[in-house]
Amino acid sequence: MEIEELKTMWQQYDSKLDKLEKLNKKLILETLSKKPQKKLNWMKYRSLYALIILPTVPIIALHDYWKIENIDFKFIIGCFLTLIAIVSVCYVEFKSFMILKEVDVSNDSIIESSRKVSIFKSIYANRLKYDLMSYPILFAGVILIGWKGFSFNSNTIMYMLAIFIVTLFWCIKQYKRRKEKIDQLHKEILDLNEYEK
Amino acid sequence: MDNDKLQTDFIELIEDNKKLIYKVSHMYCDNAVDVKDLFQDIISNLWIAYPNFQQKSKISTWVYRVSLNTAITWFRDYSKQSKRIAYTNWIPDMTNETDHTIDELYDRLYKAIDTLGKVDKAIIMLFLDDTPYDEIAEIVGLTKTNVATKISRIKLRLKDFLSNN
Repeated sequence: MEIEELKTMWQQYDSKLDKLEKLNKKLILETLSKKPQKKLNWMKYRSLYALIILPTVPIIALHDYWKIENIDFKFIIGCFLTLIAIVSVCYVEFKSFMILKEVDVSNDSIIESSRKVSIFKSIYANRLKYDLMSYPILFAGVILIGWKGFSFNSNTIMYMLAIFIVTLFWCIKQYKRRKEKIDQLHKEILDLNEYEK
Repeated sequence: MDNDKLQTDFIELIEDNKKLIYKVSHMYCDNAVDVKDLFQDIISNLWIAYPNFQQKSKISTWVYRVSLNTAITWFRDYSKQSKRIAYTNWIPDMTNETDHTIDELYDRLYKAIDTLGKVDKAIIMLFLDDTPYDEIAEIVGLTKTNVATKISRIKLRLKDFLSNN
Protein backbone atom coordinates (compact mmCIF):
# COMPACT_ATOMS: atom_id res chain seq x y z
CA MET A 1 0.00 0.00 0.00
CA GLU A 2 1.36 3.40 -0.99
CA ILE A 3 1.00 6.58 1.01
CA GLU A 4 -1.43 7.98 -1.57
CA GLU A 5 -3.71 5.01 -0.99
CA LEU A 6 -3.50 5.74 2.70
CA LYS A 7 -4.62 9.29 2.05
CA THR A 8 -7.51 8.11 -0.13
CA MET A 9 -8.55 5.70 2.58
CA TRP A 10 -8.42 8.46 5.17
CA GLN A 11 -10.65 10.60 2.98
CA GLN A 12 -13.11 7.70 2.65
CA TYR A 13 -13.08 7.36 6.40
CA ASP A 14 -13.70 11.09 6.71
CA SER A 15 -16.71 10.98 4.38
CA LYS A 16 -18.03 8.02 6.31
CA LEU A 17 -17.92 10.14 9.44
CA ASP A 18 -20.15 12.69 7.67
CA LYS A 19 -22.98 10.31 8.35
CA LEU A 20 -22.59 10.71 12.11
CA GLU A 21 -25.78 11.50 13.95
CA LYS A 22 -26.36 14.95 15.39
CA LEU A 23 -25.14 15.23 18.94
CA ASN A 24 -27.79 15.44 21.63
CA LYS A 25 -27.70 19.09 22.71
CA LYS A 26 -29.51 18.45 25.98
CA LEU A 27 -26.91 15.92 27.02
CA ILE A 28 -24.02 18.17 26.03
CA LEU A 29 -25.49 20.94 28.17
CA GLU A 30 -25.78 18.47 31.01
CA THR A 31 -22.06 17.72 30.71
CA LEU A 32 -21.16 21.40 30.62
CA SER A 33 -23.08 22.10 33.81
CA LYS A 34 -21.08 19.47 35.67
CA LYS A 35 -17.65 20.11 37.06
CA PRO A 36 -15.16 18.18 34.99
CA GLN A 37 -13.70 15.33 36.99
CA LYS A 38 -10.62 14.66 35.04
CA LYS A 39 -7.91 12.27 35.94
CA LEU A 40 -5.32 14.99 35.32
CA ASN A 41 -6.92 17.22 37.98
CA TRP A 42 -7.09 14.32 40.38
CA MET A 43 -3.40 13.52 39.88
CA LYS A 44 -2.47 17.16 40.32
CA TYR A 45 -4.35 17.48 43.59
CA ARG A 46 -3.23 14.07 44.78
CA SER A 47 0.34 15.42 44.74
CA LEU A 48 -0.83 18.47 46.67
CA TYR A 49 -2.64 16.32 49.27
CA ALA A 50 0.51 14.22 49.64
CA LEU A 51 2.47 17.41 50.34
CA ILE A 52 0.13 18.17 53.24
CA ILE A 53 -0.43 14.63 54.48
CA LEU A 54 3.20 13.45 54.46
CA PRO A 55 4.42 15.80 57.21
CA THR A 56 1.08 15.67 59.07
CA VAL A 57 0.91 11.89 59.54
CA PRO A 58 4.23 11.50 61.46
CA ILE A 59 3.38 14.53 63.62
CA ILE A 60 0.00 13.01 64.58
CA ALA A 61 1.29 9.43 64.83
CA LEU A 62 4.20 10.44 67.07
CA HIS A 63 2.35 13.13 69.04
CA ASP A 64 2.75 11.16 72.28
CA TYR A 65 6.51 11.51 72.02
CA TRP A 66 6.59 15.26 71.39
CA LYS A 67 7.41 16.10 74.99
CA ILE A 68 10.20 18.24 76.42
CA GLU A 69 11.38 15.42 78.72
CA ASN A 70 11.85 13.16 75.67
CA ILE A 71 14.27 15.52 73.95
CA ASP A 72 17.71 14.02 73.95
CA PHE A 73 20.40 13.25 71.37
CA LYS A 74 18.50 10.22 69.93
CA PHE A 75 15.29 12.25 69.66
CA ILE A 76 17.03 15.08 67.79
CA ILE A 77 18.73 12.65 65.40
CA GLY A 78 15.37 10.89 64.91
CA CYS A 79 13.64 14.19 64.07
CA PHE A 80 16.44 15.07 61.68
CA LEU A 81 16.25 11.70 59.86
CA THR A 82 12.43 11.83 59.69
CA LEU A 83 12.62 15.35 58.31
CA ILE A 84 15.14 14.32 55.63
CA ALA A 85 12.87 11.43 54.55
CA ILE A 86 9.74 13.59 54.48
CA VAL A 87 11.45 16.44 52.63
CA SER A 88 12.83 14.12 49.95
CA VAL A 89 9.40 12.52 49.33
CA CYS A 90 7.67 15.93 49.45
CA TYR A 91 10.17 17.22 46.89
CA VAL A 92 9.11 14.50 44.44
CA GLU A 93 5.43 15.24 45.07
CA PHE A 94 6.11 18.96 44.61
CA LYS A 95 7.86 18.29 41.31
CA SER A 96 4.87 16.20 40.13
CA PHE A 97 2.45 18.94 41.14
CA MET A 98 4.43 21.69 39.43
CA ILE A 99 4.75 19.81 36.14
CA LEU A 100 1.02 19.00 36.06
CA LYS A 101 0.14 22.56 37.03
CA GLU A 102 1.93 23.77 33.91
CA VAL A 103 -0.13 21.62 31.53
CA ASP A 104 -2.29 23.96 29.46
CA VAL A 105 -4.27 22.06 26.84
CA SER A 106 -5.47 25.16 25.04
CA ASN A 107 -2.11 26.88 24.60
CA ASP A 108 0.63 24.25 24.78
CA SER A 109 2.01 22.80 21.59
CA ILE A 110 1.79 19.02 21.15
CA ILE A 111 5.51 18.67 21.82
CA GLU A 112 5.27 20.70 25.03
CA SER A 113 2.35 18.59 26.26
CA SER A 114 4.10 15.35 25.39
CA ARG A 115 7.23 16.45 27.17
CA LYS A 116 5.34 17.46 30.32
CA VAL A 117 3.44 14.16 30.37
CA SER A 118 6.60 12.13 29.85
CA ILE A 119 8.43 14.03 32.61
CA PHE A 120 5.48 13.60 34.97
CA LYS A 121 5.20 9.87 34.22
CA SER A 122 8.92 9.49 34.67
CA ILE A 123 8.84 11.27 38.06
CA TYR A 124 5.83 9.19 39.06
CA ALA A 125 7.45 5.91 38.02
CA ASN A 126 10.73 6.90 39.66
CA ARG A 127 9.01 7.78 42.93
CA LEU A 128 9.56 4.26 44.22
CA LYS A 129 13.31 4.80 43.96
CA TYR A 130 13.02 7.83 46.24
CA ASP A 131 10.69 5.88 48.54
CA LEU A 132 13.26 3.09 48.68
CA MET A 133 16.01 5.50 49.62
CA SER A 134 14.00 7.43 52.18
CA TYR A 135 12.18 4.48 53.73
CA PRO A 136 15.09 3.12 55.88
CA ILE A 137 15.88 6.72 56.96
CA LEU A 138 12.25 7.29 57.97
CA PHE A 139 12.09 3.94 59.73
CA ALA A 140 15.26 4.71 61.74
CA GLY A 141 14.02 8.25 62.47
CA VAL A 142 10.67 7.06 63.82
CA ILE A 143 12.36 4.48 66.07
CA LEU A 144 14.74 7.11 67.45
CA ILE A 145 11.91 9.59 68.10
CA GLY A 146 9.93 6.98 70.00
CA TRP A 147 13.00 5.39 71.59
CA LYS A 148 11.90 6.12 75.14
CA GLY A 149 8.41 4.82 74.52
CA PHE A 150 9.36 1.56 72.84
CA SER A 151 9.95 -1.50 74.92
CA PHE A 152 12.65 -3.38 73.09
CA ASN A 153 12.31 -7.12 73.49
CA SER A 154 12.79 -9.96 71.01
CA ASN A 155 9.11 -9.82 69.95
CA THR A 156 9.01 -6.10 69.13
CA ILE A 157 12.38 -6.24 67.40
CA MET A 158 11.28 -9.22 65.27
CA TYR A 159 7.99 -7.49 64.49
CA MET A 160 9.66 -4.23 63.39
CA LEU A 161 12.29 -6.08 61.40
CA ALA A 162 9.60 -8.12 59.62
CA ILE A 163 7.62 -4.97 58.70
CA PHE A 164 10.81 -3.30 57.47
CA ILE A 165 11.97 -6.24 55.33
CA VAL A 166 8.54 -6.99 53.81
CA THR A 167 7.93 -3.33 52.89
CA LEU A 168 11.42 -2.93 51.49
CA PHE A 169 11.13 -6.06 49.34
CA TRP A 170 7.71 -4.97 48.11
CA CYS A 171 9.16 -1.58 47.06
CA ILE A 172 12.12 -3.24 45.30
CA LYS A 173 9.80 -5.63 43.45
CA GLN A 174 7.51 -2.81 42.34
CA TYR A 175 10.47 -0.75 41.20
CA LYS A 176 11.87 -3.63 39.12
CA ARG A 177 8.47 -4.03 37.50
CA ARG A 178 8.43 -0.36 36.54
CA LYS A 179 12.06 -0.20 35.44
CA GLU A 180 11.32 -1.01 31.80
CA LYS A 181 8.63 1.66 31.69
CA ILE A 182 10.98 4.20 33.26
CA ASP A 183 13.65 3.50 30.62
CA GLN A 184 11.03 3.81 27.90
CA LEU A 185 9.91 7.18 29.30
CA HIS A 186 13.46 8.48 29.39
CA LYS A 187 13.83 7.44 25.78
CA GLU A 188 10.59 9.26 24.97
CA ILE A 189 11.91 12.47 26.56
CA LEU A 190 15.13 12.20 24.54
CA ASP A 191 13.11 11.59 21.36
CA LEU A 192 11.07 14.71 22.06
CA ASN A 193 14.24 16.76 22.37
CA GLU A 194 15.26 15.40 18.95
CA TYR A 195 12.09 16.91 17.43
CA GLU A 196 13.31 20.42 17.92
CA LYS A 197 16.76 19.85 16.44
CA MET B 1 -21.27 37.34 26.13
CA ASP B 2 -24.16 35.86 28.12
CA ASN B 3 -24.05 32.23 29.12
CA ASP B 4 -26.91 31.07 26.86
CA LYS B 5 -25.28 32.59 23.79
CA LEU B 6 -21.96 31.08 24.81
CA GLN B 7 -23.52 27.64 25.17
CA THR B 8 -25.37 27.89 21.84
CA ASP B 9 -22.18 28.93 20.05
CA PHE B 10 -20.23 26.19 21.78
CA ILE B 11 -22.70 23.46 20.84
CA GLU B 12 -22.53 24.67 17.26
CA LEU B 13 -18.74 24.51 17.42
CA ILE B 14 -18.86 20.94 18.73
CA GLU B 15 -21.35 19.92 16.06
CA ASP B 16 -19.13 21.44 13.34
CA ASN B 17 -16.01 19.76 14.68
CA LYS B 18 -17.32 16.45 15.99
CA LYS B 19 -15.62 14.50 13.17
CA LEU B 20 -12.28 15.96 14.14
CA ILE B 21 -12.81 15.23 17.85
CA TYR B 22 -13.92 11.71 17.04
CA LYS B 23 -10.88 11.08 14.85
CA VAL B 24 -8.52 12.26 17.59
CA SER B 25 -10.31 10.13 20.22
CA HIS B 26 -10.19 7.08 17.96
CA MET B 27 -6.56 7.67 17.06
CA TYR B 28 -5.35 7.72 20.67
CA CYS B 29 -7.59 4.99 22.16
CA ASP B 30 -7.81 1.34 21.32
CA ASN B 31 -11.32 0.53 22.51
CA ALA B 32 -14.80 2.03 22.25
CA VAL B 33 -15.08 2.66 26.00
CA ASP B 34 -11.93 4.78 26.08
CA VAL B 35 -12.95 6.57 22.86
CA LYS B 36 -16.17 7.69 24.57
CA ASP B 37 -14.35 8.79 27.71
CA LEU B 38 -11.75 10.74 25.80
CA PHE B 39 -14.41 12.33 23.56
CA GLN B 40 -16.18 13.55 26.68
CA ASP B 41 -12.97 14.89 28.24
CA ILE B 42 -12.14 16.78 25.04
CA ILE B 43 -15.58 18.43 25.14
CA SER B 44 -15.03 19.39 28.80
CA ASN B 45 -11.63 20.90 28.06
CA LEU B 46 -12.94 22.78 25.03
CA TRP B 47 -15.75 24.20 27.16
CA ILE B 48 -13.33 25.33 29.89
CA ALA B 49 -11.01 26.97 27.35
CA TYR B 50 -13.75 28.37 25.07
CA PRO B 51 -14.41 31.69 26.91
CA ASN B 52 -10.68 32.51 26.62
CA PHE B 53 -10.35 31.58 22.96
CA GLN B 54 -8.94 34.74 21.43
CA GLN B 55 -9.51 33.97 17.73
CA LYS B 56 -5.78 34.42 17.10
CA SER B 57 -5.79 31.18 15.17
CA LYS B 58 -8.44 29.42 13.09
CA ILE B 59 -11.12 27.73 15.17
CA SER B 60 -10.28 24.30 13.71
CA THR B 61 -6.59 24.83 14.63
CA TRP B 62 -7.61 25.62 18.19
CA VAL B 63 -9.97 22.60 18.36
CA TYR B 64 -7.18 20.37 17.04
CA ARG B 65 -4.75 21.76 19.60
CA VAL B 66 -7.09 21.23 22.57
CA SER B 67 -8.20 17.80 21.34
CA LEU B 68 -4.68 16.53 20.67
CA ASN B 69 -3.34 17.95 23.94
CA THR B 70 -6.21 16.34 25.85
CA ALA B 71 -5.48 13.02 24.17
CA ILE B 72 -1.77 13.27 24.97
CA THR B 73 -2.28 14.28 28.60
CA TRP B 74 -5.15 11.84 29.06
CA PHE B 75 -4.86 9.22 31.78
CA ARG B 76 -7.31 6.38 31.72
CA ASP B 77 -9.56 6.22 34.75
CA TYR B 78 -11.55 3.03 34.83
CA SER B 79 -13.35 3.97 38.07
CA LYS B 80 -15.14 6.78 36.23
CA GLN B 81 -16.96 4.58 33.73
CA SER B 82 -20.38 4.86 35.38
CA LYS B 83 -20.30 8.64 34.95
CA ARG B 84 -19.97 8.43 31.17
CA ILE B 85 -22.56 10.49 29.35
CA ALA B 86 -24.74 8.73 26.78
CA TYR B 87 -24.52 11.32 24.00
CA THR B 88 -21.48 9.55 22.68
CA ASN B 89 -23.70 6.60 21.69
CA TRP B 90 -23.74 8.09 18.21
CA ILE B 91 -20.09 7.07 17.81
CA PRO B 92 -20.10 4.47 15.06
CA ASP B 93 -18.90 0.99 15.77
CA MET B 94 -16.60 0.28 12.86
CA THR B 95 -16.71 -3.45 13.47
CA ASN B 96 -20.42 -3.63 12.56
CA GLU B 97 -19.89 -2.54 9.02
CA THR B 98 -21.21 -4.83 6.33
CA ASP B 99 -18.26 -4.23 4.06
CA HIS B 100 -15.54 -6.29 5.69
CA THR B 101 -12.94 -5.32 3.11
CA ILE B 102 -13.25 -1.70 4.16
CA ASP B 103 -13.08 -2.78 7.81
CA GLU B 104 -9.83 -4.57 7.16
CA LEU B 105 -8.41 -1.53 5.41
CA TYR B 106 -9.37 0.77 8.31
CA ASP B 107 -7.87 -1.75 10.64
CA ARG B 108 -4.59 -1.70 8.70
CA LEU B 109 -4.67 2.06 8.56
CA TYR B 110 -5.04 2.38 12.33
CA LYS B 111 -2.52 -0.37 12.99
CA ALA B 112 0.02 1.42 10.82
CA ILE B 113 -0.59 4.77 12.51
CA ASP B 114 -0.56 3.10 15.91
CA THR B 115 3.09 2.14 15.42
CA LEU B 116 3.99 5.84 15.56
CA GLY B 117 4.78 7.89 18.63
CA LYS B 118 2.29 10.37 20.14
CA VAL B 119 3.66 13.40 18.30
CA ASP B 120 4.10 11.60 14.96
CA LYS B 121 0.50 10.39 15.22
CA ALA B 122 -0.68 13.97 15.58
CA ILE B 123 1.47 15.11 12.64
CA ILE B 124 0.27 12.38 10.26
CA MET B 125 -3.36 12.89 11.28
CA LEU B 126 -3.12 16.60 10.53
CA PHE B 127 -1.37 15.81 7.25
CA LEU B 128 -4.02 13.28 6.20
CA ASP B 129 -6.68 15.85 7.06
CA ASP B 130 -5.04 18.22 4.56
CA THR B 131 -4.01 20.74 7.21
CA PRO B 132 -1.51 23.24 5.76
CA TYR B 133 2.09 22.81 6.92
CA ASP B 134 2.20 26.15 8.74
CA GLU B 135 -0.89 25.17 10.76
CA ILE B 136 0.64 21.78 11.59
CA ALA B 137 3.76 23.63 12.72
CA GLU B 138 1.68 25.94 14.94
CA ILE B 139 -0.24 23.07 16.56
CA VAL B 140 2.72 20.76 17.04
CA GLY B 141 5.28 23.41 17.99
CA LEU B 142 7.80 22.84 15.19
CA THR B 143 9.08 24.94 12.32
CA LYS B 144 7.49 24.48 8.88
CA THR B 145 10.70 22.94 7.56
CA ASN B 146 10.83 20.53 10.47
CA VAL B 147 7.23 19.51 9.79
CA ALA B 148 8.06 18.73 6.16
CA THR B 149 11.04 16.61 7.21
CA LYS B 150 8.99 14.79 9.84
CA ILE B 151 6.20 14.06 7.38
CA SER B 152 8.62 12.53 4.87
CA ARG B 153 10.09 10.30 7.61
CA ILE B 154 6.66 9.27 8.87
CA LYS B 155 5.57 8.47 5.31
CA LEU B 156 8.59 6.21 4.91
CA ARG B 157 7.89 4.46 8.22
CA LEU B 158 4.25 3.92 7.29
CA LYS B 159 5.14 2.72 3.81
CA ASP B 160 7.61 0.31 5.33
CA PHE B 161 5.06 -0.99 7.83
CA LEU B 162 2.31 -1.36 5.25
CA SER B 163 4.50 -3.19 2.76
CA ASN B 164 5.76 -5.57 5.45
CA ASN B 165 2.33 -6.30 6.89
